[in-house]
Amino acid sequence: MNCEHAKGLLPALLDTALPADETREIETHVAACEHCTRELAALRKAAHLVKELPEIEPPPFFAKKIMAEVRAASVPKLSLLKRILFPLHIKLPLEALAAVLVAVIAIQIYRTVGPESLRPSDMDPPRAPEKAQSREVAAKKVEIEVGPYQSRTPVVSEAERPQARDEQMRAAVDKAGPRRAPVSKDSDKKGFAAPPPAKKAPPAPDELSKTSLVLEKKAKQSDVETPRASAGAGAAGFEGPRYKKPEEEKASKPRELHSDEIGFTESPPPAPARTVEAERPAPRKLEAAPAEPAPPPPAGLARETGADMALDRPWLDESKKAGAEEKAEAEERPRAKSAFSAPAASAPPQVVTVRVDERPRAGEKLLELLPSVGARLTRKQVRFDRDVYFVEIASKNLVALVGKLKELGTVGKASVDTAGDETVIELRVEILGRPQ
Amino acid sequence: MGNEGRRPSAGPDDDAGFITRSQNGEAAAFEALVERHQRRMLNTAYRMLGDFDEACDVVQEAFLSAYRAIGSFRQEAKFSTWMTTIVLNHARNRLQQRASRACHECRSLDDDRETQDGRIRHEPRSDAESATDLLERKQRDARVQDCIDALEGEQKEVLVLRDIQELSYEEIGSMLKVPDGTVKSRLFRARLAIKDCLSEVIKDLG
Repeated sequence: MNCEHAKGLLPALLDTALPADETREIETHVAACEHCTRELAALRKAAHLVKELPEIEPPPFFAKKIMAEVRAASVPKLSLLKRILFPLHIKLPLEALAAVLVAVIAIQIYRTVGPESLRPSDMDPPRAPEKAQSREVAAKKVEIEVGPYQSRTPVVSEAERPQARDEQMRAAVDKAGPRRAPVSKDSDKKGFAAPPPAKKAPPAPDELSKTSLVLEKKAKQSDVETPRASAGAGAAGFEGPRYKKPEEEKASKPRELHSDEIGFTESPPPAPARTVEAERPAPRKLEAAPAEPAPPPPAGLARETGADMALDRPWLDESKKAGAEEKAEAEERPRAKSAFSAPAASAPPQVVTVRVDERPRAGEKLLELLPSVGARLTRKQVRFDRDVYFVEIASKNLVALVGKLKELGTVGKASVDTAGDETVIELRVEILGRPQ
Repeated sequence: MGNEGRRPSAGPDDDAGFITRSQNGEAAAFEALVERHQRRMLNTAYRMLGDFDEACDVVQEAFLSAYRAIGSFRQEAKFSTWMTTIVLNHARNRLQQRASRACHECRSLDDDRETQDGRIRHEPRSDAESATDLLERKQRDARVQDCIDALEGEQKEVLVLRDIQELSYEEIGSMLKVPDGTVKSRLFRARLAIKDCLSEVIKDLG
């Protein structure tokens, strides 16, 4: 063993770090080597100095200080835990929050699945009266302008106006909205205000010459028919469909009826509302004349005329074609209905409830059996707890339909007024059961 | 050399009860453990850091960490070993922070070490020692601490644990998670470095 090798191992001699034989070998070398002896002595002295280092004393209350820190650090942790677990601190706000949530959810559910009859009157009161008013005013205005027996065509077109207007509303989306409102307001206030396209008939208020007005009106019609198809969102856009349809499709018979009724629109008495028809937009105008000696027939007849069907169909066809508009229409319709059901509030909705196992299957069956009783589906609403099918059916076929419905499931309450005649009524078939 | 005298009287068996109670959330039991081990932990930290205040901080942090982690402590190892490991970790962090400080200045062995006096004021005094002897000894101790401070981190740890705290090679190996051979080689290098560092003092001692 040389000095270099031994030097690296000398520190091992300070304790028993190496095996005995190796230690002995080094010791043998050290004994013979003066340099290594000195090195070992220095190492021992250095080690001695290190070991002799005094032990330092902890500062006073060192353990207490440490424990204070320990407790301080652990206390907030406990209190946090307490705060989470302790009921009174967190429970009350949570309960309050839960109560509010329940209330909000309840309102939401009521809105979505609440009975439809409540819906329009409760939810949409401002809009409905406005419409009704504007229509009444429109009727008045026509009478003043043209007189009861002078012109029939504008009158018919007035009767048609609600639907035409709704169509335009949909087409022109929001732009038309604000325009319509002021018009109806104006006519409301003045009573004798010019018709919506005021620019075309400015002299209307002064009522100087009824005949000239009639002429003007006729000129207007021809005007409207040709270039208006652009369907601009403006007031002129409204005129297009309003005057167009009667020209093309209206038969002479309904005109006759309308002109008769117009005379009574000045003081519209409460409608008797015999059937659901009374709730429909188009017949509503007609219904304003029940004070006449024979009030019921006009409404019923008018409903069944080809002209009226023609009025209805474009609207329905459109709703079928334009899937995107379907919802908007579904919204629109109850509202329109509400506008007219207000005076005919005594007419109960025609409802048949059917309880089934699975709603979709029952719905399919219903659609299959509808044609067999001459009924027609107008629209469908899927609700939280039921599917509602709006069906147009001749009153006489109601019993047959109810009989067939019994095949689908349990027919519950059927508040159906079976007149047994040809009157086409709207029936609401509500299918209750599992959604799937 | 009075090696055994330095070892704390509290053995692992004595700690066991306190550890169990501490694990059950009894702070008083943990306080007993602090009382028992604070001195040893403080000395280890002080020799590692060479600064009394920092050593106190480190020990405090270490006991706090230990209290939080006491639930995970398995009594397979001695509490003192576990505790020393925690102190070493905190001391290492402290040394790293110190090294990362740009203002850290390398102290010369010839620097005035008067600040050290206050830190070892609790040193047990021998009545036989004269004031001159006491002063000489303090200076010498300060020099030794400087030499320890000057050691490389791993060598310092081994030297403190073995030559000052007198732990066994196995304990040190398990604490540092290195094999015995590595502990020994680090220790030998540390001892040689200390000897070289203290050559002047040794000469003076004759």
